[in-house]
This record gives sequence, structure tokens and C-alpha cells, in this order.
Amino acid sequence: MKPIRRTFLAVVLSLSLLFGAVGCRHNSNANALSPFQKVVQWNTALADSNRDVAKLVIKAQESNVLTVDKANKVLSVQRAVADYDEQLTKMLQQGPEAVKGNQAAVKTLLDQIKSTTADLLTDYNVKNAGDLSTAVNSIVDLSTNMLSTLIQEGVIK
Amino acid sequence: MDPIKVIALISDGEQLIMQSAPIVLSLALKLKALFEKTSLTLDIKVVTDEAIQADEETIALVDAWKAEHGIV
Repeated sequence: MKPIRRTFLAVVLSLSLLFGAVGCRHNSNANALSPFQKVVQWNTALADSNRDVAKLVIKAQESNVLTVDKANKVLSVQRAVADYDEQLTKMLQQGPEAVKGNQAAVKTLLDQIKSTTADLLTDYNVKNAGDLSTAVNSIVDLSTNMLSTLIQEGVIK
Repeated sequence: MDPIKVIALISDGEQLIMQSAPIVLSLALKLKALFEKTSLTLDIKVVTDEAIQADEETIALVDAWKAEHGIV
């Protein structure tokens, strides 16, 4: 790299660190994300929530709050959701145009994540299970937001 | 805001430099705005491998739990 270019990049990086720190404190960039970038962030939150559910279920079973049979049913849902989300993430990584080209598959995956997870609230009665129901509801809400944003932005019809 | 991984593509016509570092998205967006004041351009690509990592952890957790309880 040429010295002048290296110097330029160093200055720009230093300035961005300075301004970025100020921006973080005031959260001035909270609305700077494009709708697609928000979908990508929600997808990461969804994957995190799904992992949280699996951890909570295992912990509940180990504490004998859940039977092995019931834990197995819930964990099977979490594994299926992780499979669906992994496929979805690979599509999101390719950008909005690629998602547009695979819109039927993306919609199906989001519908599957939402309906499979929503079933937990009714079929396995996790409605009143504190942190567990919060994480499950979060997955349902995030998948709903992702689908509605992609539809609003015309990425999915 | 949690740190995320971004790839910055800096272009001055023919040459591209790729840098990858953990950085908060707000910083990346500030950096992009600064580049808009120069003759260079900067493309920010958010890497979504955190989601893949979380999904793979979920699958590994569930598979290990099932194996422990003899469930196929």
C-alpha cells in the first residue's frame, strides 16, 4: 500500500472511531439501517433466541422441571428452526436481489419458522414459562417482522 | 450495540482493498459517510455468519442432548 494511502486510511479510521463513539452514545444511527439490513439483524436475533430456547429447555429438563419426553418435543422444534434459519441466512447473505429471486423459498422458510415455533405456545404449553415463553414469542415476532418488511419493500410479493 | 463483522471494499478505480474487522455497524456507516466526501468509495457488507454460528450451536446442543438421552 502507498504511504499516502496508508496515512489517509489511518486518519479516516481514527476519525470514524471518534465520531462513531459519539454516535453510539446518542444512538444517532439507530434508524440508518436499510430495511434489508434490519431484516439481517432480526435474523441474527432470531437465531440467538432459538439457541436461548434450546438452552433453557435443557436446563429445565436437567432441573426436572420438564420431562425428557416434553423436552425432546420442544428441542426437536428448535433443531428444525435452526435448520430452516441456516438455509434462510445463506439466502440473506447474498443480498436483496438474490432474496427476490428466491422469494418463494424465503417466504416458505419464514412461514415454517413462525408456525413451528407458534405451535410451542399451544401444543406444549410454554405460555406461562417465563424466560422460555419470552424467547419463543421473540422468535414468532421476529419472523413476522422479517416477512412483513420484505413484503413492504417489494422483495417478496 | 453488539460488535459485528463487516467487510469494507475500498475502491479507487482499479484497485480494491479488502479489510475485515469486528466493528459496530454505526462506525461502519460513519466511515462510509466519510468516504463519500473523497474520490474513493466504500462498500460495506454485513457478514451474517453470527446467525449461522448460533444455528449451528443450537443443532449441536440438541444433538448432544439427544445422544445423552439415547434419543435418535
